[in-house]
Amino acid sequence: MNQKREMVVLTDISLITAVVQRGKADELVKAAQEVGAQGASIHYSHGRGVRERLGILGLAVEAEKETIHIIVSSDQANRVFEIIYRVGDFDTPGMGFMWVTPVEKAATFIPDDILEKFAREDRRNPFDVRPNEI
Amino acid sequence: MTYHTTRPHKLITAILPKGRDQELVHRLVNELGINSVNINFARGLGRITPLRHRGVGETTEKAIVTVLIEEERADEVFEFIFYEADLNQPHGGLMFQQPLLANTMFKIPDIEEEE
Repeated sequence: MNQKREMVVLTDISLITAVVQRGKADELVKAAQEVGAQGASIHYSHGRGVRERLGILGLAVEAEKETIHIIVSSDQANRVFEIIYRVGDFDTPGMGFMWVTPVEKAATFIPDDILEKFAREDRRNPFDVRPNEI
Repeated sequence: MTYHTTRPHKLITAILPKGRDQELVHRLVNELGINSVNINFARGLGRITPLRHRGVGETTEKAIVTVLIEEERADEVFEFIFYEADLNQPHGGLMFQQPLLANTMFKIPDIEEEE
């Protein structure tokens, strides 16, 4: 059977990467989804930095980390970035840090009905979900 | 210390359901001759996941394959991964390509691979 070969390439996308203490990732991903993020991948990592500088107080900082990757449309990158910062208490030393990197293009399976919907509404890509649509 | 700057490269990342990674990497190495491939494992969640009916926040195991590739071959490799790793199928995962400011070459010694 001949399969239709069609790749929908998504542009105007950013990758948010956040490194947080182990156990915090799920809460942050949930907050990100509430403001429009579609999903996330999380892997474990081990970090060092402020923990070693805090002396005995460093014991309060978990050395085992979780690294979160979230792909978002560039339009919503600031919104997701800010909510993660706020929910993750990133202004507190040792809680974590994050960055945004550019993504040239992305591809995934997109159901036809979603494609048609976004084509009708002239949206740039299906990652651009508005909070009232969640 | 000397090092050689290289032609511009791209970083392609594919987030796949666990189990699709080994076959893909094997084909990238043997069919496209790419050695700069890395795999790490993660858990992932999305709005449309196979386990969504079990509740919001249900996660599944993922394999994240990253490929460092010359700019000229990036589109070819991107498309190869998209179709050969079944990213064009529901619950197939997500892939993306990023520019790099600098990178080093990864050259492996000329040793025959064991069967």
